[in-house]
Amino acid sequence: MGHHSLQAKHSFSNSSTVSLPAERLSHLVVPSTLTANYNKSAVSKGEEEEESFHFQQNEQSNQIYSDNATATVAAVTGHLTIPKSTSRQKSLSSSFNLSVIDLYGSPNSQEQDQEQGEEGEGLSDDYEEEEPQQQQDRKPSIAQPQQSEPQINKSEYDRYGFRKQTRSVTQRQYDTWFQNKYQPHAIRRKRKWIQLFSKAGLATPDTEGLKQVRFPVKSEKLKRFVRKGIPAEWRGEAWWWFAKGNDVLQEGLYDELVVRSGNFKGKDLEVIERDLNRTFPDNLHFKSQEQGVEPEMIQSLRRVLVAFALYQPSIGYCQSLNFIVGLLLLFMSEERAFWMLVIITGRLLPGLHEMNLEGVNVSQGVLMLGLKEYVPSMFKKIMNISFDQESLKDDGENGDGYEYLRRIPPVMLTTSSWFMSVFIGSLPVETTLRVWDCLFYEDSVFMLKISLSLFKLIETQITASASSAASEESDIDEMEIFSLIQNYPKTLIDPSTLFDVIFTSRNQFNGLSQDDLVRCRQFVAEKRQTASKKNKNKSKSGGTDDLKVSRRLLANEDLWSDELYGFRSKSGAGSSIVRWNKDLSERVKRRMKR
Amino acid sequence: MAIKKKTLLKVIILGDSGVGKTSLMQQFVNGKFSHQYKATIGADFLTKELTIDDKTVTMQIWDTAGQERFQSLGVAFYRGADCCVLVYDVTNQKSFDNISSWKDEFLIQANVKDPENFPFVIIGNKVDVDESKKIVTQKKAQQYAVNLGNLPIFQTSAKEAINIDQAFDVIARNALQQEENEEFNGDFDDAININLESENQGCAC
Repeated sequence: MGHHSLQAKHSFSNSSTVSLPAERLSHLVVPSTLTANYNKSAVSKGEEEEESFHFQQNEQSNQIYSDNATATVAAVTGHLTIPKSTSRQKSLSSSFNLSVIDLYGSPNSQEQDQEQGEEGEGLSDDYEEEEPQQQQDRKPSIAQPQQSEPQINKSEYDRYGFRKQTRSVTQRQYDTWFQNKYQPHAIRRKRKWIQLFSKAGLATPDTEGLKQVRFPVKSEKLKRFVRKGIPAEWRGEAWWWFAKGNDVLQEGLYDELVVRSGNFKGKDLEVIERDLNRTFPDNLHFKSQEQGVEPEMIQSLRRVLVAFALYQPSIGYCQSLNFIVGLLLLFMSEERAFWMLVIITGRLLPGLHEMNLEGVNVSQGVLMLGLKEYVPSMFKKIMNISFDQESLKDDGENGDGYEYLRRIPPVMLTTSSWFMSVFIGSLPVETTLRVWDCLFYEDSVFMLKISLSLFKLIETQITASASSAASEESDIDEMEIFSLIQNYPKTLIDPSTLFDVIFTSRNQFNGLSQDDLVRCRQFVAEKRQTASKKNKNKSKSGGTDDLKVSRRLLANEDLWSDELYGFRSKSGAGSSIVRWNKDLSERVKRRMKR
Repeated sequence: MAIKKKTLLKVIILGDSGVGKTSLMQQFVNGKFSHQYKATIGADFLTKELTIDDKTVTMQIWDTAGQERFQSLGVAFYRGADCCVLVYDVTNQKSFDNISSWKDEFLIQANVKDPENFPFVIIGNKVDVDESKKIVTQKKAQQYAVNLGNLPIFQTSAKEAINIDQAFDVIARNALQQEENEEFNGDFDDAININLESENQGCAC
């Protein structure tokens, strides 16, 4: 157990009896003029260390930002600081620059590269005040070779510490795209955001000494801003604000749970432990920099996951929560990450991580209905590859044509991870973050919209593939569809590829509202429920638990009485509206009341 | 474009979380090992073309999430499997003890017609570790495999690529035989593999 220097020692110097981690928000930003200094301190035991940490609380940066309307590109790329989050850490008000990578690209990046190779020494020296014992144990190892990566070449990692190169994207592709396209975009957007705050008469989230962060009131304009991306260093605050974190926050409870975690025993603990190092092995912050020293991030991840398992026993630990928390921790404190997890698993993705994962089946059923309505060619293809004559016979028994809601097609196993992990791992990092921005602003209906957009893109791919083969679409076989759904999203390095689909107004599904989604969820839950009642004695896993969750999803009676399965088209034409069997719903309702 | 109606073998890999299912699949298909695999959510799949005694087949390998609760998502895709690989970690007794539960779970969910003869292959992974860390001995495991219905068992290391090809060769042969048996028994699933009786891949229509 130990720490490394992703966190500054200042944050820890007054830590209470509960060893809670330091403020986390701030580790994203590096003033460009300081990059070299900082990097050195982050990865080596250099003498500049003290100096650079002091420097990071510089006043200049905030001046530039308060005088925001005229901020220059240089200023935007330069001195960004990050606000504090939890009250617990208010006293530690300085913003430390804890990222190894600068957010907006830096003219000093060449220098950074030259500095590689100095890591491996005394990564945890920042913690001597807090843990002198551990410090003694640690020998300064001189460029100790590690198994897979003896050196950290910072140019290989993106601004959040993720390795740029993935199985689907080369580093070169990433660099070209980021430098030529995304970095200018981010700088431009940041400037627009500053203007937006200024017009709304609000101080930006990174204003020094700000007690209460506030975002402008919701509007079409703000929604458009969010869709174009929230500035990376404001994301933590923005997510918290838009997801209404303060509404769920119970002060002190997280700390209490962490204390109680000590006595927590259970099956989940073992699974959590196994997943800690399988969460973001490709991210610097989650990587052990020194043999036997556990990264601070891993410790935070453990605390949040265990606390959550204690807090929410109906979920406990479900694989995929590790990814969600891991990403949250890159942008906010542990406490906030914890409460955001409560919001995500409860309000945004209801039932998705429960013991029986019924919410996953419901979400996939909703997606199937969405495909049927809005991307019918994909719906047909999935039906064709998923159901044979046997299944059709089964459907005959129920006779309502909704067998695919009860028996979710195998291909949807891939899309189920889109929902469970909120696209982490399914989309490249920057694209994922853009989805997260919108999810918190627009609520969970955005998950459906983005999934349908993905299928729109996949549809295009399939058409291209089919025409190149100069044959009928039936030649696109099961495996190709599977593999496209599984792999194509991973190549969408530029968020605009995906967001252009969302922005296209002629895609009817853009008009879907949260109410539409809620109705549709209920419809699917009801369909599944009739099946699970039938099969109650037949199958051991389709029993009462499914029923319970379905019933919970059905709880909202007034929406339940709506006779659409969702998806009202905003155009009002009503042509795409599909009605479901009202009699059936009445019957189920009566049965449930009994 | 792929040749139509080729033989498709569907293989499902099951086992506790962290036993190395993803690593096994990656090692077999791509010949690579990485320390950087993430926990699998839902399922991933890879395909590989193989030649078994002059017959070209495509193996579709499904890598699944190991956490118990994910079994409730498995119903649909277990169906139509031609072989099921049960993986445990030689350093983890519990993962070994759970092998028979994974087997039962599969048989229930896959709705296998002839459970007695359905091909399972057991893999004890991570044999590259230090002897002192090995908890499940080879002898014990082999005895267990015999008791479980004389199932083939392999001791592998996805990391060091030990025994991977041997194991998957047996998996492929078993899957192919299963596929042929099903064909012979007039399975409804006729979307694939219509001319298995003839030796070469010519059209049988």
